[in-house]
This record gives sequence, structure tokens and C-alpha cells, in this order.
Amino acid sequence: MKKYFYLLFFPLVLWACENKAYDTENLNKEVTLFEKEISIPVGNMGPFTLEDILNTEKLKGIKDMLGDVLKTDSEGYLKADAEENFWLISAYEVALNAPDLTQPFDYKAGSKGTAPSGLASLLAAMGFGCGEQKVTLCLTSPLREAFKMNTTCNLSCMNLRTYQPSYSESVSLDPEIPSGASSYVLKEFVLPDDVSDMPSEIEFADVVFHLPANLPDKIRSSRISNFTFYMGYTGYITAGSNVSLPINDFIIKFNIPLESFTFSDAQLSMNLVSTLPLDVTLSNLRVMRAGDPTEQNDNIEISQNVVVKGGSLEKPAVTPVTFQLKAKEGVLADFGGIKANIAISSAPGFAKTRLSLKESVSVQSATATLRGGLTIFDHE
Amino acid sequence: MNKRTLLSLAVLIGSALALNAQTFQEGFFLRNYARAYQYNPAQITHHFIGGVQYNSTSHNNVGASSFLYPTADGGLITAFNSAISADTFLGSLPENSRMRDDIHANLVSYGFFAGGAFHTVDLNVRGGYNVSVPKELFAFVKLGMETGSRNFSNLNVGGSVMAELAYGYARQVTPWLSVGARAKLLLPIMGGRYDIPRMNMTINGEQVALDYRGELYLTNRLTQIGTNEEGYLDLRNLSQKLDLDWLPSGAGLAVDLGLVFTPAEGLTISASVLDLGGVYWFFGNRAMSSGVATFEGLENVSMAQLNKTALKDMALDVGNKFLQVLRPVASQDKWQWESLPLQANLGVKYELPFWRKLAVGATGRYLNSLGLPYWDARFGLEINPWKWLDVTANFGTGARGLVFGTAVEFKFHHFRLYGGLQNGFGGTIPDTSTPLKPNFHVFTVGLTYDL
Repeated sequence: MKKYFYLLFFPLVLWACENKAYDTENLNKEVTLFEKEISIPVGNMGPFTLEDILNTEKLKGIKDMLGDVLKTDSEGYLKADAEENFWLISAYEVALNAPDLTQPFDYKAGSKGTAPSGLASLLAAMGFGCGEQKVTLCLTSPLREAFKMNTTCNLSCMNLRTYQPSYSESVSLDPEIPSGASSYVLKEFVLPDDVSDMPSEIEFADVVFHLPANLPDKIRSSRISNFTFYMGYTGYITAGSNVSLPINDFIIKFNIPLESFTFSDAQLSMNLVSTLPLDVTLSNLRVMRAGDPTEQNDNIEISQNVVVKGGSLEKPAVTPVTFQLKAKEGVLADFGGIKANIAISSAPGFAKTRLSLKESVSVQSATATLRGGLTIFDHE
Repeated sequence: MNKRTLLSLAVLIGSALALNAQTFQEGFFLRNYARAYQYNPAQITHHFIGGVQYNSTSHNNVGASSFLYPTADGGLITAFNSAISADTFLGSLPENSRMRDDIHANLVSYGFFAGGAFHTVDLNVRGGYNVSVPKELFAFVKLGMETGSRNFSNLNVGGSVMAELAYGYARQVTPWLSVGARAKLLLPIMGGRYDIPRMNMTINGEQVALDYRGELYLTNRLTQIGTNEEGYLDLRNLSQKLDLDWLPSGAGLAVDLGLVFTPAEGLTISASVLDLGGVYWFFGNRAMSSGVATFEGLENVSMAQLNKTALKDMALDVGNKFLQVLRPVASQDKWQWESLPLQANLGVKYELPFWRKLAVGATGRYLNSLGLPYWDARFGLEINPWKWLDVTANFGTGARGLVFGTAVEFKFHHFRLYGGLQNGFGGTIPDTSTPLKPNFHVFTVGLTYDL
């Protein structure tokens, strides 16, 4: 009605008329917001403790493997703990070697060595060290009468990466073993602080028992009839100086609904705070697909070679890290996680720092900067 | 939500309450326009009674073409489409994009002579809304921000409806001079506004902070908004006031003053100022929102959470924190004075001595509308070829560029039907009256009966 009114009176009105180019019937409602960039604080994540990390699928095998020999103390520090009755000599068999059972006699038992299971090899292979090491050597006597013995205790450590001796200690003993002694401590070795290799051999050498007459009558019982040599070992696992632990194709899954957006470029900046006394290097970073996190998304490039410096509980290391994600074509989408090769290595200066399951890596002050805009499509 | 709903909401929740004086400027040229006293209260017309006159004004300092862009293939995209550069879009915007629409309905008028003077009485209803959005807000939505601050202050929306009872008096004091005045009693029915005097957003890499202050002023004669236990306004807790004491929501008074010179035969010079005065509003629903909402991101999220719901929880958390700051807390009711936008008019017309059916002239106007002042100057022609037809047109320039206007009045027996249009150039969106360019648009239609 108003239109006809306008047209009726003056041609000038035509100048004010509808412009068909602006007919909203043809309106495409697709919009792109924040097209230059938008920065969002992501905040703090973690701490992700060593225990959390070892509990991940990829590392569970290692944890299980170490579980038999690695314990934690009340503060969470990893501790190697091994004990072994490594040498049993039957008193009855010894008695058979007596020239005259009615007379006291000496029995040369010989020599016998041991080592704290295969733990040393395993840790050494990974490059970890040990600290605060203690070896306790005991003897349980089968006799109801005290007796004397002579032996030499040898303890030696070897660097299993170089196969060079790194420490040795030897001591001669002539103790009198009390009657019915159970776990009588013959020697306790406390290794110096600078020894990080675990003992590769612990030996009782040239053992001689000075036994009483009528030995069979002195045996406590048929069940306790062996001279039993026992070795107990404790030590804390330290970061060492030669750790080299590669973990390939470690996957960190994310549930970020990037498919809802059309960002072409994203930058994630953060401070990684580590109390782990180990450097962690991420390399060969790949973006994995959302539906199948085992399949790589080749359309998204991600920055490479991120090194997270190691620290300690007392002196956390802060490493600024920036990840760049960029779509080769189109937008960032189909993002299910990141796959990386991880190399764990000793952090300089932290070789003697004890490893604790409570040591952690945490993400602080993370900020995501997204470029390319948030596009809301016209679905009509 | 369509435009109509948005408009209704805007009117409902309030606005810069002072409505423009709305006059039919083209009526100055029409020879027998009975309501010419509305343009200049010194204008003495004739004995008449008037029916409804509808007058609407749309004024905006930014046009739809800043937000909509035709494409080469015949389509239409918005300014937020990635095909439109930020420079193009933001370069077309003023610091504050403002729009106001006013409607002025004259329900009944009566003009008569008594005691040697011309008297008029009008009963009117005024209504309108306005919106103001800072450019910075559009810049943020379009471009985003990595670090720094953006100031979105001075965003506001408001509207009002009021009744107006006017009495006019004009007297011919000399053969060449008449003077007049018009007093208007204004009775606000409802109105309100929401102002955001402070809204600063800061992003510094570790934190997003919103420093916000919002102020709600709303009349309560129709509805009282209750509060919840924490003192926040609660829209679920409304109490209707259906008794007859609900009006008005304040009171106002304004005067129009005018002079008309006729120094020579056929020459008329008109000067007037309209709407000297204002309204004392009573805001029984008043509330404030104030505070700083911050968002620092996730807090100590575990690896398991990262895989699952952390991001969704984060979004909800952000929303709740910011909502807490935006929620209005009820505060003391308040009386508040608001001046009306003053309008000054100057006009001159001359009936050509060699053909009195044709007149030429000019008009000028200044409207002191808060935040959106306006002026124009026009050259006009009027032709009255027959007694039953009077036509006028004008052309000029103003605060929004080139302008034109046209009007016509038909006489049939004692009835006079008239209508007119003022507009700028640049066109509109089809099927709407939304202008594509900054514009000042007035549409008038009315009916009177000569007594």
C-alpha cells in the first residue's frame, strides 16, 4: 500500500525504492567470527604423575615388568628391593666330609656369588642409576652350638653399558656364629653415594666352617639342617646419567570437537613444569583422526621436536612450549589426538635425584590461539 | 527471532525514553493543512476536527548495506562472511551504530477560534525505541583478539510509550506577525532502558576478564518484577497491576514556541522550537549488574578428564561465571528526569505573484536527539492546481546525505486526506522499509474535517 502511495506522486520516490540486490530471500547466513584470531586461556592441566604416565596403556608393560622388583616407600620414591637365600649347604652332607665325627673339623665350603636378580641389567639397560644402596649378608645356622668360620666377602659393581668395573670392596671375616643363629648378619655393605651402578656380584669367597665334634647331633632339626647364606639388597632408583628410553608411537587422545569449527591454524602455548629428573623429547608428532586414533590425519601439520626439561620436586623445571597446528587444506578437523615418539633421557645435574611416582609433569598457563575464524554454516 | 519480535522486545524493555517531536514538515508547504500548528504553534489554520494522524520516523546513522553485501552471482551475504574484509565492514561503521524508530499517533485534534485567537487541542500517543551498539563490539566479533583490551561501553537499548495532551494558542498580533505556543502534558505509560556504561574485555593470554556494569531502568506501573532470595531480578516472579491506579509512570511537560512572519503578500517566514521540556520518569523496576568476571581456563584437569568432558564443563563454567556478573540485582526505585530532544525549525515560502498556484520555499531543521543529532536543509516547491489537490516536493541535504520529501493533500467535501514522505537516497531492503544507507525517514498520513 505504502509503495503505491510513493509511486503515485513523485518520480524521486523511485530513488528510495527497494534494491533487489538486497533481497534477503537470497541471504546466505554463513558467518565467520573471530576471523583474525581469538585467544582462549586453557588453564592448568595435571599434574600428571609418573604413576599416571606408567598407568597409560603404552607403558603398562614396563610397569608390570618392573613391578616385581620395584617398590615405593611411604613418600612414593621408587625403591629396588631384592633378597635371596642364594647358597644352601646341608649340614648332613658336611658331616659326611668329616674325617672323624667325634673330633672337631674344618670344612672348606668354597666360594659362591650372587647379584640382585636381573634388576641391575634391566635398570642399567635403561640407563637409570641407584643410590643409597645397601647390601646385607646373613647366615642362618643349622647348629645348636656356636661355631667359627672364615670367609672373604667381595662386592663389585660394573657399569653394564661399558662393562667396566666401577666399584669393588672386599672384607675378610672370621665371625663366631652363635648357637641356632637365624639370619646372623655377617656383613652389611653401604655403598658410597657416588656409586650409581648396582652390585654385579656379591661373593662369599673361601668359606671355611670350624665345626664342632659330633656334628649330626648338633643339627637343630631335619627341617633346619642347612647353612643358609642370605643376600638382601635395597637401593633407590635415581635418574642416572645415561637414561635412554625411547617410547615410539605414544598416543595422547583428546576429545576436542574441532569439527564444529573452521579454524585453519591453532597455536597452543604453555609452560610445562616438570619435577621429573628426566628430559623428555617429543618428536615425529602426528595428528590422529578423531574416529580412529590409530590412523594418521595427514592434512594437519604439527610442530616438531619439543624438549621438556627435567627438574626435581625441590627444583621444578619450567619449559615454555608452543605447539602449532596448521591445516594444509581447509580447516582443522578430524582431530582425535596426537601421536609422538618420546625419548626420555637423563637431565643434566639430576643424576643422583631419586625417582618418585609422585614426580610429575604439569601444564600451566596454557593458552590456545585460534586463527581462521569460527564459521557457522548456513544449514537452511 | 524475527525483526518484529526483536522490535517488540526492544520497546518492551525500554529505551532512551525521550521521543522525537514528530512533525509533518511538508505540511508547511500545504496551503490548507489543518495541523500546521504542530510544526509551528504560531501557524493559524482553520476550524477543524481531526481524526487519526499516523507519523513514523526512522533514523539511523548506519545502513543495512554495512551489514549485507550482494555477491556477483546474485546472492547476498552478511558482513560476517569471510568474503567480506574487516576493513570493508568496519570502515563503513560509525563509532556507535545507532537506530531509533518513533511513532506518533494523533488520536484526535480540534482547532477553533475564540477570543480573537486560534486554539488547538490534541490527544496523542507517542512510542518508540532506540538501539546503540559500539563499533568495537562488531570489531571483536569480526576479528577476535589475541591479547589486549576492547571497550564495548555505551551499548544501550531502550523504548517508551507515553500519552500526550496538548493545548495550542496562536494569535495574530500584527498584520504581519503571529505568535503561538503549545503546552504538552506528557503521561508516560511505560518505558525503560538498559544501559551498559562499562563493558571492557581484556585478554592477556592467561585470563579473559570482563569488567561490566549494566543498569536497568524500567517502569513498574503495569508489572512489578520480583526478586529471588539473593536479590536478583526474577522474571518468573511478576505481579500484574490490573487496578486503575497503574498510570502514569511519571509526568512531563513540554512547550512549543513559534513565530510566523508575513512581511509581504504571499511570503511566509516560519520559526519554531518544539519540545522544550521533558519527562520525570518513575522507574519502579530498577536493577544493576556490576562486577568483573574472569576466566583462567581449566584447573588441574586429569588425563582422564581431558579425554572426556573437561571442555564441555569448561564452557558451562565460563557461562555461569559470566552470567553471575550479568545478572541484575534489584536496587532502589528512582525518579529520573529526561529532557525531550529539542527541535528547531525554520521555513520560508513564497507564492509566485505571476502564478499564485505555485509556491517555492525552503526549510531547515535541527533535531537535538541524544547521540543521534540530525539536521537538514531543503528547497521546496508546492503546487495547488485545483482546490481539491495540493502537492509539494522538496530536495536538499542533511546529516545523512541528500534528502527529499513529497506530500499531497486531497480535499473531498469537508474531508482532507493527506500523506507525505521524507527520505534519503540509497534504497531499502525489499519488502521492508530498512534503509540501505544512513537515513532519516518520515512517513505521515492523516485525515481532518473542516468545520
